[in-house]
Amino acid sequence: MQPILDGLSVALSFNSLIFLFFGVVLGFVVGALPGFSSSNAAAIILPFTIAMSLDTALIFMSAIYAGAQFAGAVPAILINAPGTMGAAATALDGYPMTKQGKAALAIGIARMASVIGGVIGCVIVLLVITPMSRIALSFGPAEMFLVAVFGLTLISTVVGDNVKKGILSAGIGLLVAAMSADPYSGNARFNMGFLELYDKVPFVPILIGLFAVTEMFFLAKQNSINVENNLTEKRNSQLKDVIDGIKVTLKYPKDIGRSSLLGTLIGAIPGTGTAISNFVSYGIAKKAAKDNSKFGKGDPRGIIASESCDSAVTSGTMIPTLTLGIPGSTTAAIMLAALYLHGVQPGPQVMSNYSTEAYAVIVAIGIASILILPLGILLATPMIALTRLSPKVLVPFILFLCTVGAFSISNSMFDVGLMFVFGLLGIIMRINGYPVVPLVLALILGPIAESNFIKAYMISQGDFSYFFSTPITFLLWIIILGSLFGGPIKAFLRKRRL
Amino acid sequence: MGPQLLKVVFTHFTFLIVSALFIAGFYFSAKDMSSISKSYPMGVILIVAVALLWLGTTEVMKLIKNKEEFSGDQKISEVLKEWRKPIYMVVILLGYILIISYIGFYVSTILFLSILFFLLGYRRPTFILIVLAIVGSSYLLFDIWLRVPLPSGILL
Repeated sequence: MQPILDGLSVALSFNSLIFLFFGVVLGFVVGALPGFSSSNAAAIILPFTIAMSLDTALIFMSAIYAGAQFAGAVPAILINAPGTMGAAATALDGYPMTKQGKAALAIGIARMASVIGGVIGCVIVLLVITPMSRIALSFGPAEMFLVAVFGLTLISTVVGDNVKKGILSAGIGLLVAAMSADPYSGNARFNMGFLELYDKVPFVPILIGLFAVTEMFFLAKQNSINVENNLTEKRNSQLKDVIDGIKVTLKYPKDIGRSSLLGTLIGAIPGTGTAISNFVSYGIAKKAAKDNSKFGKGDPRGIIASESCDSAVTSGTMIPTLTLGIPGSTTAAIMLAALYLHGVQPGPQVMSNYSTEAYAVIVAIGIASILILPLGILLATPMIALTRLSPKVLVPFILFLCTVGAFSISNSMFDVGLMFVFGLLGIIMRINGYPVVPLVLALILGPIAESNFIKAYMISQGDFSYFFSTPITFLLWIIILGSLFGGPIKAFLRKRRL
Repeated sequence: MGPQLLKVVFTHFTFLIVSALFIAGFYFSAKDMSSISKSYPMGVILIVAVALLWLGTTEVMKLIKNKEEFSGDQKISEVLKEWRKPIYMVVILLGYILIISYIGFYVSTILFLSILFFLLGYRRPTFILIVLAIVGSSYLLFDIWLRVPLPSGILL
């Protein structure tokens, strides 16, 4: 209980609340811009967090994450263009409500559902994270190596539409992470003569390149961010809409509870994230409803199912991120990068050595969810205006921020060059249909996997049966093989039945 | 190489080619290391090589089956026209990165932002104000407040 109270006091300190406030506001900005996600913003912000303390950096990032999760609903409801993947299902009922002239009410419902979903998710995570971290602490090098492999295989198989492409992307990421000196002998490995790579591959400029520069390339092609910029009426959010939104949302406690629980559970599975969860939640809400004829035509339950689940996912992703060092989402992966930047090795030790910071992050997500209510009312009109911002203005400004961000990590133009090279790689990967998320995850998990592999190799004196020596390793192998071959086997069996 | 073939190679095989070159370089760099040092990278190289071969074969088979990809009459000049803004962006960004160390951060940033605003189509006179605001605020933020030394050159 004491670590939770310590975390609470950190999250409620004046400094943290200021960063929470600005984080949520920044999250609103990036979430409201269709195509620009919290992970892009977190990647750009990452270098600047080096000047902050660890807890402030993590709280700031989690506030951006929580703010963006809600803000994605605004363009989804208003212009049928979800600002984030997690808001895709919100558009199914939100946009029809806009067409019926109930845009403000729909935003009000989304706001309230997000608040409740975020708070429920936070409470669930606070309850389960300690027992889960105790289990994780019993893991040895073989188990930790397999956990890292599991994270990579799972994300390679669930992100994108082709498992082989995901595996190739992850493999390239592992090799990029291994371009530093060999941890056993200290010999340089394929560093192409760059001394900057010898100590450790600087992954922050790589993240900025893969996410932000790549995104700007495709954004530069568009004349406007909006898919459908046909707003004719001015849509302001008024207090009456807020109260109506609260009233309507509270009419469906079962839907809120179910969707929030589901969001937390799905968020806890690495790599699944909001893109899957909000559609699962929407589908279950539709199936559970006695009268589901209004779903897809402007039913408030559709917005509640999607938004409360979407917000709860944010908390859920913190379970694997903080207990195992496997990010539950792309933004969580960048939060792990922030841990590295502050000299903390992600893994089971985080919950024991940095428990105050870890609990502060979880509590901060809950507080950020509550902040959505007043800030969402205050900033509703500017958020609508943001959906009309032109890429002509946005692209040069973001590229400038990327360059300064990449440089400021170690005051090195090499890092800026690295950002550019990986920006190009990200563009090629997207054009060729390869997901970048497995590559990013491999960059983070690669050093963990390699160091644990070498430890296990040395303990076992080269005997690979060590990787099968405990019940946990067996279980992990089954899960890894299941995540790799479960899909194809299922598809094969289904084909045979037909 | 015809324009359609070039397009097919670019849109389907560029990442595979880049990956193949990368793992080949890594293999030659790591092959003479001790067995404990090379076991991890060689294991990853093996997995990546299998995935590469598999994907390469699948892509070729798909293209053989789906010959329409090679047809079409879109010229390279039309594709370049369609993508001209993103290409400008990449070229200008590269130029910016190359000149920062020579002429200094502030002057190169003014040039970078002004040229990019112009080429992306933002040509209102207000762009000068936006550029000056960005450069001015970065001076206040980095030089004065955070004291982060930004790259300096022969100019500012």
